[in-house]
Amino acid sequence: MKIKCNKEDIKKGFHIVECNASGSNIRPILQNVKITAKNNTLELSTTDLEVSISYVVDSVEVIEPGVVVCPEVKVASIVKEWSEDCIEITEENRICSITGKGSYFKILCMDPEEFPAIPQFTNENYIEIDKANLTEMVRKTAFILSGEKAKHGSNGVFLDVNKNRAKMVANDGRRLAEIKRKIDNPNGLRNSCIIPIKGILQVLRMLSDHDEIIKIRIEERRVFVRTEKSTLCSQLIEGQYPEYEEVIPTNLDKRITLDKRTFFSAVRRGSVMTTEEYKLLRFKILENLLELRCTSPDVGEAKVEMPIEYSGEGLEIGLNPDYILDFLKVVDTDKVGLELKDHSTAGVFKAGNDYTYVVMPMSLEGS
Amino acid sequence: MHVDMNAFFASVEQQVNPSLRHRPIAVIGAHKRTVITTASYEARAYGVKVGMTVPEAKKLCPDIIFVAGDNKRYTDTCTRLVRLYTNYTPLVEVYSIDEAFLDIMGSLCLFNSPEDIALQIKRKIRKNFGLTCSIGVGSNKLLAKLASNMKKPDGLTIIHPEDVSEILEKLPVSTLCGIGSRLEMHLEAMGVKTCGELGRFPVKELKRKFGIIGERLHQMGLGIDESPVVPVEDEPDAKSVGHSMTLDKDISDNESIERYILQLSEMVGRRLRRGQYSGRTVALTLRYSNFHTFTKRRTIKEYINGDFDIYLVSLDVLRLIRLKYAVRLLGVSISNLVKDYGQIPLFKKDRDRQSVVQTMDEINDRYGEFSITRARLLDRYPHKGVIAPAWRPAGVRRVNYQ
Repeated sequence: MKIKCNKEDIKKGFHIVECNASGSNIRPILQNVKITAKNNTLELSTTDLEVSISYVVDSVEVIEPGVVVCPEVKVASIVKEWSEDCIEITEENRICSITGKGSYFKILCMDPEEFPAIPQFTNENYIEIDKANLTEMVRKTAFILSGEKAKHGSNGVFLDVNKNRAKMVANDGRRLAEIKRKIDNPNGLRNSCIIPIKGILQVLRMLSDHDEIIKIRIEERRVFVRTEKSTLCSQLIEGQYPEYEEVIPTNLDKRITLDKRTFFSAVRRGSVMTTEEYKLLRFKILENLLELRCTSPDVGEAKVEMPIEYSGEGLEIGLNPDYILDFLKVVDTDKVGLELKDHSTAGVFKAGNDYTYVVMPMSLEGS
Repeated sequence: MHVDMNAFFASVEQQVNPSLRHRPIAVIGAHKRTVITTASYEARAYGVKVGMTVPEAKKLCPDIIFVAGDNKRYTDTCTRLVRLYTNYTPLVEVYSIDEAFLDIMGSLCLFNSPEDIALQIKRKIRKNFGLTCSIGVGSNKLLAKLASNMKKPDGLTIIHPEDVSEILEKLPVSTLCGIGSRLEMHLEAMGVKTCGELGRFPVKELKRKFGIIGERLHQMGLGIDESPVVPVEDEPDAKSVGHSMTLDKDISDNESIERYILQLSEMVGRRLRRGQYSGRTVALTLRYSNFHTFTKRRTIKEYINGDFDIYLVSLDVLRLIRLKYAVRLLGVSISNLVKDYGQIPLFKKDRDRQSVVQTMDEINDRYGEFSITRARLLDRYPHKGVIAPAWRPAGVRRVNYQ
């Protein structure tokens, strides 16, 4: 194999495929990147068997086509630090050489036969979605699942496609987010799947800056997400997604509209007194007044008031402020709706079109 | 004041079952690899000691009667004893299941003298429980415990401040609470055999050899002990809750290991919920047949206290371990605790599961542990073990079943 290409193009490719080939993988072959050169393109692929990503660099001068499998971290660092505009990569006898004017690198490669097969996108039965919409859907749901593993049985993000709408849902057993967006579905597909959190976060990473249309194809055991240059394939989580609709209460009679910035600040201030062990923030709704109180046994207490427009029955409910802050961080509207019933029924936040966030309260008894 | 119940387990058994009175008996564990936990004074006369195996004891005393210990009986008795002590002072420290320290300084104006209190307690324990105890009175915990050990059974010893140095002068260091055989060996190598010698030994030397406890050793030699009597309610909150057990026989198949883990998880969950705790770090301890012991843990995002949740996380941990030998001991413990974690689950099935657990707890509270349990645990391992020194009448503490 022998190729010449622009440094910036290939650098971007490595940026997209790199974190999939993390050093923590038990199989050494998976720490490698597969570079395929043919027809004036260069394809970079990595996989951890659960999620695979490939990126195509075009307008490459392929002098001699071929395949090379070499350590991702090494090649990526060389490319990142490359000081010239053009980069030349050659492979001979399982040694990959990268040469410039005053420097060269020779990397020992692996047998390409040992590298697992990268699933290929089939160009049929897919749906199309606007990049901005997909980004928004992922950003407004996946935050629930990031961080440490929740309870046993890793959860994924539920994607449901029906006619011209796609729904994305995430929950961690205490809160749930649901978002609906328009899609282009020429074949009228109906399908749903559970995408592991790892795969969904990679999607966010591979979406480039400029606007484009993204193709999604759901297969029986895997899902493909394809942009113009990159393709991601993630295994799916098997099993049935819980009947989540039943946890979104519909009989909520107390409705408040909150100014997002004021509310954000009030919750942030109220949560100062909470600790890792004590998360209870009491929300008291009175006439035209929202009162937040926290009495933390080992720290101290706080009371924060904010004016609201409300004239119904009063209510007190205990909520974990972290859950609310997580939600407010992804909200991009100025107003947030909050609907409640009583201290033991889930509270429902609404922001913008078709975005619902359900939070289960904390018990007020015993404290 | 230090109260030490005489041959506690054995005496309780003799009270429960009159036919055992005045006969040599030994309380043992319920499982196969058990040892003697307490021998009655009648059995001690034959030389039967704590820690002997059943055949060893039988050899010394052919008429000995073995009784399988009943922990509930002892813990209940202890709780009632503590209630009795609190009639005399609120400052009662439960040192172990059969020993307690009482700070009676503030009660002396109500009762004539320490001796009066001691005699009253002795009389009441004999009358209400049929048990005997040895009481030691001293100006601090160290001396009180030393005093109670001087006369057994049924003793009352008072160490007056003016006699302290005379008593300590000839006393071997190992009689002091806190100096074990290893420490004794080290001290003897330095030429220190009695407490008097320990008290006179240069502090600097002691500190150089033993570090921070050097200072403490010096004070002990002089009969000084400034540690306070800590009542149960003042003890710091539990940091972790755990159970472990040595298995009947070494096992290596996953099915049995998982079942033991389920049983341990149920035991841990019970204690966790009794103290209204929830935790999010689950640790699994394994001991191989070659006694190599190790612990692996996992932290999750959510605070849990349900048996099955603990079990599932433990299994996740188990999957990280590639078993090399047969397993001799298993332990499950949970840390990163919070009290009164009130988050309500989102899904009804999770809330239902919590109600089931709560109902099971109520049934087991009323009819005894494992009255209701998972079908998989029906032929479980009998877990009557030994009450660990960490047992307390209330609250949560780590307990090991050996």
